Amino acid sequence: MAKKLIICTHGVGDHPDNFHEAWAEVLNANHDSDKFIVKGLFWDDLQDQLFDKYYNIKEEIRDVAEETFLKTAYEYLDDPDYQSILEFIKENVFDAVSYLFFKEFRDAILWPKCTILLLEIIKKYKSYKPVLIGHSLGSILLTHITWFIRQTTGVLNFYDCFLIGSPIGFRSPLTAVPDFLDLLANIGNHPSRMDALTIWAQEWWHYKRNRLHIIINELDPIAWDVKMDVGSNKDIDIIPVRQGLSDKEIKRIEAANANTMQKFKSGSKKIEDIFNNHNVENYLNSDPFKQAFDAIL
Amino acid sequence: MRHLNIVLISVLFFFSVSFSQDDLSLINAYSDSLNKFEQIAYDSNNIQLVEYLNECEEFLEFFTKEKNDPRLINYNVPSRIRLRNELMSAVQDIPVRTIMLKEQELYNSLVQDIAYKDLIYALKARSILADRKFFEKDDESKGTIIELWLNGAFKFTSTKLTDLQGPQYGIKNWEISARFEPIGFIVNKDWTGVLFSFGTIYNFFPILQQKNDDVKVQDTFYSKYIKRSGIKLGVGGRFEDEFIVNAGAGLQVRAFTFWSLYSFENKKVYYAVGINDLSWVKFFIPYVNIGF
Repeated sequence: MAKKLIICTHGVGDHPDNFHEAWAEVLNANHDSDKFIVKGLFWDDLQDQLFDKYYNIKEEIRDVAEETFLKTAYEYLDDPDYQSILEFIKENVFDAVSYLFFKEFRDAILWPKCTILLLEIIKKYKSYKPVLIGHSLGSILLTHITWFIRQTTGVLNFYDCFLIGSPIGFRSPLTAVPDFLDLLANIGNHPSRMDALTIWAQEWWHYKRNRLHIIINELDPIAWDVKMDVGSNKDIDIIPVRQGLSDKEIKRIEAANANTMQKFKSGSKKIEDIFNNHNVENYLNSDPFKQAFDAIL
Repeated sequence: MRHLNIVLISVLFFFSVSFSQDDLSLINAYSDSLNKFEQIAYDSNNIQLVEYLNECEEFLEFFTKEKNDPRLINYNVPSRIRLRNELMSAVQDIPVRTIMLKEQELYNSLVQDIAYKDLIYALKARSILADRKFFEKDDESKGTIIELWLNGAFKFTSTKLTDLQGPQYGIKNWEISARFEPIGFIVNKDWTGVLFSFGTIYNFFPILQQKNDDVKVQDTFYSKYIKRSGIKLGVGGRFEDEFIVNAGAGLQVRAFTFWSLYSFENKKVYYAVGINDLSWVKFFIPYVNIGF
């Protein structure tokens, strides 16, 4: 059986260009490392290019986010003890909003350059079967650029795809800001986000065999709508928009592509655990991921 | 069936020299899957399936004819995708889906290499133009969030994602500029000021040519020396002893805008030069630290 080419795509925050080596360590420890090689799709520098050029962009988006997506987080976490947590949430929300809000950045720069990176890795290791792993916003990026490749070439030919810690179900509360599934629908010219979701899941289905995995930690507030313990009397949904897929959306996906959704629980509801609950290593070490990954080797 | 046979005969008699044995096997397998499709389509009288089948036949014809100079861009991919989307939305029938998947797998095998090559080339070309438009000298800093959003909001400025055809590769020449601009007055050189300017700028792009798998950039006079030009309106003022409100219109060439400004204080018209890319300020006055 041909070796697998694992292409990792990082999420938000600062990452070194060799970020995939940390992922490879975990994968090599948990699986038969003779059967795959690990490469990274590094795109942090593209977002930095945007922040460098556009004056005050971070601050302006943060102001908007503070009044919308982050209102609850500010309310409960505006305390010196919670600064790093608040910064982490702000960073995630900020990157997601800039990804969604700036069409020109996406269409002219981010998606084209990431598509080139992805295809050139595949071209370079042509004898390997490409397996995609995207974490957090990286999973969204992978979803979009693979759909873009399919839309422009008619080809959707990846051996497998893992979307881990993915906020793909995010529903934008602002009409001016599309959400991730809206963008999927736009790329594919689908009439609605539901149509897009169905056709997307169907296309990944292949000979009744799973080629698509959405793996979610139910205690990860970036990817799932979990209420966290912030020290008040009741648990709070600190990002009061929908990040996770709805029951209806999960049903659609499962009907089109059975066993795509896999959930697990790791960590605790304590707000201090937010880093660990969303951490890529936590996902790579989870049972659903390990089982699914072993199955493709 | 008759149509498919004609295609296959063409393949065998006219084009077989240019196909490898592997390609011929794939073409045969592809043709077989279309035959199965055809049978189901006629039995079920499914119009969408028939349409998709016709599209697949057109693709096979394209592929066999274009093999010597394969450019996927010459094949109508959007039509295939549209029909495939419609069919996938409508069809739950397992045999049909299984054949569709088989057909897709064979399609992938036949076109993937040329498809990826075409796409990488087109996107490299797009990236070169996008970098020229957004990140090159004369426009490398400092845009505003409004400007970034506006450029994605209007058709005449925003990139068309799926347009991979040259010479523009989806990138539009026009852009909207909405940013703060420092100005220096021409007559009274002691006067300086700042304007918020808003206007449309035309970017002159180089000619891009394919050289092997790479993009060769050939600059024209306009793309090399003028780069960008446009008309803008500005409101702001000049710093004298106090801030005096001025407004007017300007013509931008590269990073410089030549302003004609009306002063509301003494109702006179003044002329000024603005710098659109603040990194030029550092070029003229190196010791100035631009803390934007």
